[in-house]
Amino acid sequence: MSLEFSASNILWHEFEKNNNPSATVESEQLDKVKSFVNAFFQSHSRTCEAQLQPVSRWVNSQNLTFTTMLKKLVTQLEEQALVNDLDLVVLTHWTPDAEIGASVTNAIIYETGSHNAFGIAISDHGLSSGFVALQIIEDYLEDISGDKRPRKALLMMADQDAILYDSPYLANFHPAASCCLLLLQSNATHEPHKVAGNITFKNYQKTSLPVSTADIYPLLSTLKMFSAAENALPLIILTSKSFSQVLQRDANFSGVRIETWDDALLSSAPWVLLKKLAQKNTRFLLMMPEGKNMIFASFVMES
Amino acid sequence: MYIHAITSLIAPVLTPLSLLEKKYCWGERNHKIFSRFHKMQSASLFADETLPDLLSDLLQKLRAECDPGLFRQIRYVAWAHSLHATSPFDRMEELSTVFQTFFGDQEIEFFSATQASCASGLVSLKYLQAKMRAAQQNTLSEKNGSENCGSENQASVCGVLITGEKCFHRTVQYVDQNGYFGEAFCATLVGMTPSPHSLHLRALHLQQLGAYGTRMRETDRESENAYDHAFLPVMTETIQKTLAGAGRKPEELSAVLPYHISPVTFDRLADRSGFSRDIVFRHNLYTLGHCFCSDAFLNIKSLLACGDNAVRARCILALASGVAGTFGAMVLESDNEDIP
Repeated sequence: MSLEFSASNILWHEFEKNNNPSATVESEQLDKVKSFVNAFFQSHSRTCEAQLQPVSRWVNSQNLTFTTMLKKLVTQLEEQALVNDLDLVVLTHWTPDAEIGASVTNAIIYETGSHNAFGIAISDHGLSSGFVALQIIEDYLEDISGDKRPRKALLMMADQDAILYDSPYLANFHPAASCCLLLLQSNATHEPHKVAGNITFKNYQKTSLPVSTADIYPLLSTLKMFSAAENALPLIILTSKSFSQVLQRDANFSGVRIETWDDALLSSAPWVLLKKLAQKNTRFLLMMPEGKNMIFASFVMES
Repeated sequence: MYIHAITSLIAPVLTPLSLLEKKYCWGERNHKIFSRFHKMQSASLFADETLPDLLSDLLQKLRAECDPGLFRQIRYVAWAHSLHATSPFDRMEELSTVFQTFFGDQEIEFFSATQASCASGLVSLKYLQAKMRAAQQNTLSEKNGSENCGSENQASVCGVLITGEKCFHRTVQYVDQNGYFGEAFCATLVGMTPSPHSLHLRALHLQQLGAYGTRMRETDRESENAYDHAFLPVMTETIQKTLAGAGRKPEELSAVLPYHISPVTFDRLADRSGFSRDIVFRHNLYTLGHCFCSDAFLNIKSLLACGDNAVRARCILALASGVAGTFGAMVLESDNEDIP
């Protein structure tokens, strides 16, 4: 089975930064959220106290929930593609939503009218959740494609720029509330229906983090991210700003085109860059270090 | 797919309803409904243990109870949770490391499945099933000599589904008139090949009332009434589709496993769906509280451990429902002739 998408069916949006606590939030509402944060910390044996500023900023961001953000893109997508026949709707995110207890996947299934779609949200997988989501989509569509007809999936990424408490780690990214979606189609055969301009997902891999920079290049050759025939195509590596600097210091990568995504766009960042760089007869390798792992996703856009 | 084993972690001493009333101050009306109408008695709560403590205890127990051969085959871990985030944001990478270290596999795949509320457990099972079928398929392709980028021999891989959360705040302590939450954790070991005493997952079906995806935030009386009216027909339809998928009739079921909230719902579902009220497994229904995504798995474990052979069922229907409009059901069957 092959999984493919058109660059024109990658849609994204960056929302205005929300750095100001709202002056209109009632103190009763703030107290409720603070009590939630304190109890949450306590359930993790953390002694920190909820701070007014992040709580207030988070309450303010509730006007911009994942559902609200993604509905905007779904409306845009509906203008260019049929989306009432989706088989699968997947949400991935790094930061938590500004809404507790919601089902974004259910809301989007309803919005698109794809009432028989299966919905799953992937959390706690870091910034690379969109990478693993592609593998999940491929596995799921293959699992249900007994009748061999093409299947459709919607992959959505969304992140908030505000969470319930201060996080220096998140602040380092200078995050923007942003979202992105990809409309994907599967074909049951191993030989993809060649649609001009479509990008084909090739492989997802997760490895241990190489011990040194010098180990990265040899690692790539062991991963089989592309077939032998595809290896003849020019390669573009897409990665984060800090990791692109690591790669550029290694002479092995001197002949390889390395492009850097905008870290502020969090989970959406790789896809925004892929849309921008999409060109025929090219291999794309998305890679990022995550915790103690390296995560890879590969794509090919053939003529 | 097969459920090989379930490791559970339940509070050694259950908290009685009288103490819950004092702790949560849920009011006289709720107390009357919970005690007299729903006949609820207690909840499993860990007063002093934190979520990381409990997760660690569960994993240790899994290691102690699990067949070592199956334990070594674990490659995928999914944590199904009802809340959108159960761990502080800066602990997320640590969480992945916890599983990698525990299972001794740096490349183990871990993520949480969320946003189907308390039906996220069944959503995760569907993911694990697709994942492990794909692994099996990869192996077959490899054996047949076809090219398959990055494939490895994964014929006998296993997955673990983690369920369970803390009732740390009013938001996750009780639901007016319907019931209250509990803290009990499960690690459910699944794989694609049977093992002694494993249960075969014959069918798993999920459907959504998508219009209610945001009802926890934006709702009104009219919308809530509409949800209440739709609930039983949609859950009944979910049950019918699941049974059809398993090729079973309602009268062939030997046990129905409820989730632990609003017990009367299951009598109504029995009447609508055509199975006897007597086969609703009530062992934990009044005593543990609604343990988020864990209920189905706690009940499978209790059912199999039950001393009464009449109760140890061969064809089991387990149900789950998510507050934001997700409905799930699965049919499990015991294929092992050695289980009486």
